[in-house]
Amino acid sequence: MATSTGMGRGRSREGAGPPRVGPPVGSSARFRAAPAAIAAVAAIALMALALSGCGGSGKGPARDTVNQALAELERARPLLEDLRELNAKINDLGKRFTSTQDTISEGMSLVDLINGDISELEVVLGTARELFGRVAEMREAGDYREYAELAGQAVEKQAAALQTNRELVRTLAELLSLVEVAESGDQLQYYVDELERLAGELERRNVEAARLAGEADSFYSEKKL
Amino acid sequence: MRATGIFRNVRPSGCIARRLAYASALLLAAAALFAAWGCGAAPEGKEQAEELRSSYREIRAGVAELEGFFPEMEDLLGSRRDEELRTAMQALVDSKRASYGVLLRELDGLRRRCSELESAGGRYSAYAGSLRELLELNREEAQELAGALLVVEDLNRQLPLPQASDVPPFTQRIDDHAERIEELRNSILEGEERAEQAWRELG
Repeated sequence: MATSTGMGRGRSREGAGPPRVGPPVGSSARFRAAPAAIAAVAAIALMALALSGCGGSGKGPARDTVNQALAELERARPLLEDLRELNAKINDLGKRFTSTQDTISEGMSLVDLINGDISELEVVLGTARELFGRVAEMREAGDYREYAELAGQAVEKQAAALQTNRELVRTLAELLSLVEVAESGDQLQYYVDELERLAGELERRNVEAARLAGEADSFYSEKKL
Repeated sequence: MRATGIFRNVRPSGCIARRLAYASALLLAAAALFAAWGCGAAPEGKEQAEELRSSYREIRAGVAELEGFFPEMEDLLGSRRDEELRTAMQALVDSKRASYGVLLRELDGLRRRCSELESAGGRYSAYAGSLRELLELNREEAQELAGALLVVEDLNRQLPLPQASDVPPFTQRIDDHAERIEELRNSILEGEERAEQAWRELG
């Protein structure tokens, strides 16, 4: 098979002749998870910057809760970095091993690792979202309230991006499960197209999350929170 | 004893020795009761094993749903023509492909749960191991079914076929998958019988 993941070939069976190898999908189908994940890290990094400026005047409970939320986001940062690296490794599947079976194993362990990161991130972002939501409902929170709304939207978008990332690795797992039964790369075109679509969607969502995080960050600076 | 005042109710006596005797008897009775209650409780891992067994049945139902692809495809081939056939076939392939994705995740999830109980090393460890092996076979069967779907999608893309002689290569490829599926199904049935026997023996 010659997919964007550059992996294996169809299973050769007795009497079935040599496996047919589909046309290379090549660079047009390059997996674009890496830039998407970089944007994700950027989104969180922007918001985490605000953490250093915390400790300003008034609105005690709101400020404390915002600080807690930002501390959660700080925890998310290395996980997002790891996720970015793992996503990028999908591009290299098929390069490290010559055996299809080894490539499938490598791919599946990558899927497990990515799913693990996503699960952890979902918990961390869920906590941050809840904390921002709490501040957004505080009547006396002043500018913190508006900041929490903006930051909450950014986290929401980031969580949506994680969902797309999860869908992407599910598709990858399905593709990997079929590498051995497929007779050619062409047969797996549906999965390759899906990976393309999901990688594009992931990138868009991450960029949007970064934009919202930037807005939240600007608001934070403008209001000298 | 004093705190509950239980012995005063049983026998209001001031004799400490007798109270101690009653206390010992009561303790023994309580211990016996506790032991009997303990015997009635489910052995460790039984509940998990029952859950795995029930989930396995759901997996089989999922595989059966996927297998339904063959008769559904035959129905379509017998009842539709040209563009209508192509559209209906693609819809069937898409629907079964989605089912395959769901099934694959459920299979992997259940396989992990079986491995956990198996490695816990209790009374139900071997049973969990046999279910895990069955799940491997089910996964292979699901993969073969998905392989057949890929062939049908190939065929669908080329409809209408220019010549009648273009059909046999496709049917041969589908038959290859069907043959392998049949082999796997037989192995699964044998494995299920063994697993059920083991389950009955576990009581």
